[in-house]
This record gives sequence, C-alpha cells and structure tokens, in this order.
Amino acid sequence: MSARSGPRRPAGLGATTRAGLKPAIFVTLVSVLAVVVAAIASAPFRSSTNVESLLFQMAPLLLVAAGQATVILIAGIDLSVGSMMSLATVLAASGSAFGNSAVAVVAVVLLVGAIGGLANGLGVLSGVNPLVMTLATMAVFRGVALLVLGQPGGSVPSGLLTPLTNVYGHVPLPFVVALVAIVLLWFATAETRWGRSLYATGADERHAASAGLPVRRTILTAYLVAGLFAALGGLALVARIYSGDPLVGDPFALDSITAALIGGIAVTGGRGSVLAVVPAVLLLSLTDNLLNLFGVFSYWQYVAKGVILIVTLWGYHAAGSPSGLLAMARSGWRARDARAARGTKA
Amino acid sequence: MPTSRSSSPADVARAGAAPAGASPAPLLVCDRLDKRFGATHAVRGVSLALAPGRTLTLMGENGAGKSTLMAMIAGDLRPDGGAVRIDRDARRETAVEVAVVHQELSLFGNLTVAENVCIGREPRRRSGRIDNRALRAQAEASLARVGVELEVDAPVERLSPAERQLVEIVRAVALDPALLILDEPTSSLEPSQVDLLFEATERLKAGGTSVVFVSHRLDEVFRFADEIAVMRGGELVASGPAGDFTRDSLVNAMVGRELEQLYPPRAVARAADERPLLALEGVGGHGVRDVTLAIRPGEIVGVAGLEGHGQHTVAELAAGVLRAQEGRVLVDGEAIRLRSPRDAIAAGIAFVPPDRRGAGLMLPLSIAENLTVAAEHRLHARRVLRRGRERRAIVPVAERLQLRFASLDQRVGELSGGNQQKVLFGRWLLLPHLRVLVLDDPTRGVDVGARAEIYGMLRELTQQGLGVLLVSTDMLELIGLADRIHVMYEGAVRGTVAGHDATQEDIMSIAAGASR
Repeated sequence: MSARSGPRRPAGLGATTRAGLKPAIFVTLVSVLAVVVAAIASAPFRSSTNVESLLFQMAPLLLVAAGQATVILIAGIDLSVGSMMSLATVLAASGSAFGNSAVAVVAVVLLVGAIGGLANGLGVLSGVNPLVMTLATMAVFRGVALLVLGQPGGSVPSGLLTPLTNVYGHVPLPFVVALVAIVLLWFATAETRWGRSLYATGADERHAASAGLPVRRTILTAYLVAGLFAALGGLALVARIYSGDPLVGDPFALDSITAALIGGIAVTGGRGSVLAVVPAVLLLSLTDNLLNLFGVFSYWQYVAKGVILIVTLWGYHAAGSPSGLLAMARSGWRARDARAARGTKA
Repeated sequence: MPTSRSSSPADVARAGAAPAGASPAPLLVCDRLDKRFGATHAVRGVSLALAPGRTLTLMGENGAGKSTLMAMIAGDLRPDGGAVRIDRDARRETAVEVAVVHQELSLFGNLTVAENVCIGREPRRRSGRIDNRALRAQAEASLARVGVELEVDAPVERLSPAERQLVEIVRAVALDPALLILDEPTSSLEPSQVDLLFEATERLKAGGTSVVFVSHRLDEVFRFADEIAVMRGGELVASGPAGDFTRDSLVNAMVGRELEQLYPPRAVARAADERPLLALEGVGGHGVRDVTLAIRPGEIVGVAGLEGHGQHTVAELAAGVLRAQEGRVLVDGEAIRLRSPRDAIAAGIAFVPPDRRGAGLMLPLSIAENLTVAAEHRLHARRVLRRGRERRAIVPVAERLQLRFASLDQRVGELSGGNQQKVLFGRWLLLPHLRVLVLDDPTRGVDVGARAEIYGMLRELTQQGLGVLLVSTDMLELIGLADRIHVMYEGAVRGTVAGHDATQEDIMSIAAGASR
C-alpha cells in the first residue's frame, strides 16, 4: 500500500542520508507486517472505504510531522503547528472573504503558515527558547483561529473542497500531495547544502557557526518549513471535516512530535530522516484504525500510542543508535568520555 | 603600524619563501587587543605582527588568555579595544582568510568524515543537489594531502580522539587559508601524527600561509616555531625569534616565577609501607583495564595520558561516578564497592570533575549553597536548614580557601574561574571524614595566582594526611605536584615515573605508546 516510503537506496545517496533511513527500516517492517496481518485477518480493513479513510486520516499528520521533523533536526521544537492547522481550516472555511476562490484561499493559508513559521523562527533567533516561543505562538494562533471562526462550521469554497476530497483509485489527493511534499522535503534536508547545514546546526550550533555555515538562515527556514507544512496539513484536514474548526488541530502538536520520534529523529537534533515519518505515521494511524475496527474503546488508542513511542525508542537505544528521548540521557559528558574510551580501544 | 598595502617587491620576496633580511609586510597584525569577561581582564593590550610563511608559537599557561586572543584573531570574538588586521594582499588569492583547529574539536559527530571535511563547500550538481561522488573524492584528496588514512564514509563520532583531531586538521588545511590557527592541535596525537601535522604546515608555509600554533609541549614548540610569543595573565610578556629562547627562559616567562615558587615544596617522603587510603587493584571497565595504584596518606598520585587514553575514566572509577567492572577497590585496606558517587563520599572519597561549570557547581546558587551541598545532612539536623550553624561551618573554610567574594550569598556564577574552583574544593573540606580527593584537571582555565593558592592548599591538605589522585592534562602540573605519575596509553597504565625527577619527554614517550 504505502510502503513506497521504504528505505530503498537509490545509488548516489550520501552516507549520512542512508544512515538516517536505518531506524526507519524497523518501523517500516512492523507497519507493513501490521498491514498484511490486518488485511488477512479483517475483511473490513480490506474494504476500499477503510483504505480511503485510513489514507485521508494519514495525510494531515504526514504533513505536519514532516515539518516538525525538520525543526527537531535543528534541535528545536514547534508546539504551534496544531494551532496553525486549526487556523488553516478556519481560513479555508472563510472562503467567502476571499471571493470563494480556491486559489486565493490556498494562497492565503500558505502565506499565513509562512508568516507564522517566520515569527517562530525570528523569536527563536532573538534568543527565546523554542519551547517557550512556540508555546506562545500556539496560544496566539489559537486565539486568531477562534476570532476568525468562533465555532466549527463555515463554508469551504467548493472549488477547493472538490479537488481536496478527490480520490484517485482509492488514493485521496491530500495523501498524494503529502507524499510528494515529504519526498521533496526529505531530498532538500538530506541532499542539499541547506540540509547539510540543518544537520550541522542540529548537532552543534556553535560549531556550525564557526564552520561558516548560515546558522541563522537555517534556523529561520526550518521554522518556516514547519509553518508551511502545518498550513498544508490544515488543508488536508479540511478534506476530512469539510469545514473549519478552530480547535481541530490541537492534538497534532504532540502527535507530530510523537511521529517524528518514532521515525527515529533524535530530539537532541541532527539525527534521523524526514522520510522516516512516513512509516511512523502509518504505524500510528494503523493503531487507531485497527483498534477502531476491532471495537476497542477509543481511549485505549492513547495508551497504545504511548506504549509504541516508548517501546520504539527503547528499541533504538538497544540497537545502539541513540535516538529520541534516550539520546538526552546519553548525551552528557560521561557518555562522551565512554565513547572516546571505546574509540581508543578499537 | 603598516596600514599600507604591500608593494609588489614584497610579493616577490615572499615568493622566494625565505624572508631573510628585510621582512615582508606582515600578514597578521594585532594592534593593542583588549578583552574583558565581566571581572576577568582576559587579554590586555596585546600587539603582535606575523610575516607571511612564518609560524608563531603562542605559549602560556592555562588561563593566560591564549584562546581568547585566538578567538579574536579568528573573528569569533569581538575585541573590546584594538584591532586585528589580516592583509590578504600579502599573499596570493586564497579561499579563506583564517582557518582554526580548535582545542575543543568543532566537528559534527553525526556527519561522516567526508561531510565534515567539505562542510559548507560541498560540490553540487547543476540541480543544487550535493554531488556525493565528488564530495568523497574531494575529501579523499584533502586527507591524502595531509597523509591521513581514514574511511571517508565513517561517522566522525565513531573515530578515536586522535582521528578526530586529524580530521579537524585536514578540514582546516583543505581551506587553504591565509592564516592557520592551531589551538593545541596535538593534545591527543602520537608523535607520528604530529609529524604529519608538521609536514602539512611546512607545505602551507611554503605557499605563503602563516601559522599560529598554541601548545604546551616544549619539544614541539621549538620544532614548529619561527617566532615565539608568551602570554601571562592576559598580557604579552615576551616575544621574539625562537632562537632567542631556551627551555628554561620559556618556562620562566610562562609561569612568571620560578617553578619552585608556583609549586610548593614537597613534603617529607612518607613511609612506603603505610596502608593506602585508597587502592585500585586491577580495576577495569568503560574502556580502561588493569589499573593498579595506591594512594597513601599525604601522597599526591598523578595520572597522565594523551586525550582519550582513559585517564578521565580512572578518576571516575576511583570516585564511583562509573562502576568498575573488574578488579577491587580498597579503602583503608578494606574492599568496598563504589556504585555511585554517594558510596564514594560515604567512604571519604570526593571528586572534583573537570567541567566545573557543567558538572560541578550550581552556578545560579550562592557560594554558601554550593559549599554546603555535600555536607547538608550533617549541618542540618532534622532536615531543616539552619543558617547560623551553616555560616559557622563555612566561614573558616572560605578563609582557608583564600576565597575572594563579596558575600557568602553571592552567586557562584559571578566568581572568577579560580575562585569557582576553590568553592568546588571547599565543598569537600566540610566533610570531616574526607580521605582522598580525586581531581580531574583541577586548574583548567584557572589563572596563575589562583593556581598557586590551590597548589598550596593541596599541599597543606596532604600534610594533614589527605591523599590526592590528580588526573591532569598539564604535564608540568603533574611533575610539580605528584609523588608518582602513572602514564596511561590505550586504557592501561603503561609506565610509572617518580614525580620529582620526571620530564615532559619521559611522560610523553610513555603516553605515546613507547614501551617501557
């Protein structure tokens, strides 16, 4: 189905690009296995309605998680992406203000996403901690979304809604857009100078600056990407709810972080691959989807996601590729010395 | 000061690479550079000039202001006063003005050797995509130019400290800079690797590059230097052609007093059969193996080694920060298990870590709070903080430390490096059952005056029967203080020298793997 995200190795990829895909292999295998088992065991799962619904469900999280992953790569974090998604939906649902033109709506949404992302980036550059900065803008974006549309509703221009909900075969348009956008973003982060600067900045900002890399521009563009992808994610969300909702994006702030970490992006920065959010989102969406199909009470979905997060990170740790939260525990000077000692022994 | 551009005859002279007689226009000019960090006057009015194709060796003790001066020359730090001029015209067009090999390596562990060497200069295809094949080829050529053999696709975090240092050097040399700054580039290198560095700098110099070289190792200093400048307390105290200096005059200029004055006289030798306060017997784990040493009352036992050969691990094993996986630890002749620093403190073993800001002190808290943290349970019966009792306990300690402070409530972060270090020591002096102090690089970044006081205090403490395990990267410090120096190589003790008649060369030859 959507395992095209798998860690294939096109010739000519950089060594670090390939290494970044490694943690994704495990998650990909697990999610593909889950798809196969579910497809065999459950007839409802195989149904075209369910497949479409699963892909519709994946698209927003894919987009927002890819943006989040980019920010985490520079050792930042963006809590405001959820509110930005909500804001995008209410703007889309205020189509009449923009002459019901689909193009105008998309342009405004993307512009707002870019402005929001730039605001985050500028705040971080001015020295505000990313957590604090995006916590603040999260509140601001939510407030603006509520001011635009006080309760769920509004009307999305049909010129926008029709293509958004279009399905090719069983593959919805937002899902296709999300995949294409992620592949492009992955390529930019992995195989361009901008991307190299991203990984270097994430590993050590001071070292990056002293190597002459454009650290400030890198940080700014990373938050810009997160804002843009959150806005895109908001449009993908409109395809599911057919309207605007000033609070609908809230869970995505933390879900996007979860997806990035499960994909093997280290929360300490500089490690992992944006492409790895695809299998991670698949795994998370499958969990929801399967628990629903098997009639498990929906609150258990949260428990399941938490367990998956910890088990995956523990797995990365055990496999010796320090990722995610566990990298924090290992990044002290003790760990460095231990590693140095190991180096000399070899 | 020559502000005018160099004329073409100077270029011709420079092309001959032998600037005999009339010296060509200087490539680097520092004009009365000045820098303060809060209360610390790190660099005071330093002026110097360096001709193209020459090597200046900058000497000075820890905390003399060398790194601050280097950072200003490299443009990483803005001087408070004065100016740095680098005359590009003094040599051919070059890719960059200044390249720096930092003392604290500035590589990216998450990227590969090739990606690090070419960082920011990656060859690209027309699409903007990095050309990975060209990148590897470029990196391989850069490595070959210095004579380093490494797998270019290996992540830097998997390399040994020496290999990382070489990569850092390769990256700087590949930039083909007008000025190459080497800030203690050999702290983890073996002699054969130092030879590679020497040849690489010679080739660069032949092309007109000037080199500023910071080092503590006297043998290297004379080998690399055309000119020598010595800093002390932020000032330039001596400078001139390398031939004008002798080893002794260099050391005296650095220390500012005879070594005997910096290092207090040795205590009367203790009876060798006294029972050790702390003994390691065949201790190993975390990259070191089979470490055997004993610290008797009144002794200072030194551990030396090149960066990354396990000496820090020995300190952490002795202090319970790391758990020994093999061997025995004996305190007063009894085998005990040190599973945590808490166990070690209970046994009277205290640890002063090398990174006092990161691992030792709580900078936002007061002097009093930092001093009492290890002895709190003893000062505060019934778990209620009792300030009066606290003050009565710490005032004598602060006096004994010759601590300079405004008030005991002053934040530790506001103190100078030397005074911070004293607070870290003082914490343990409140423990009445203290037996052994384990010190890991205790005077890094501490000025000479405070160092002399710390050394004097250490000697006083050992005369009262305390034992000290001193791990240091400063060989002169070990020679000046330690009764015995155990030298580490690849995680094992490869030789032991007596402190009073050791030389830097003795220690280096063992630390570099020569059998003994």
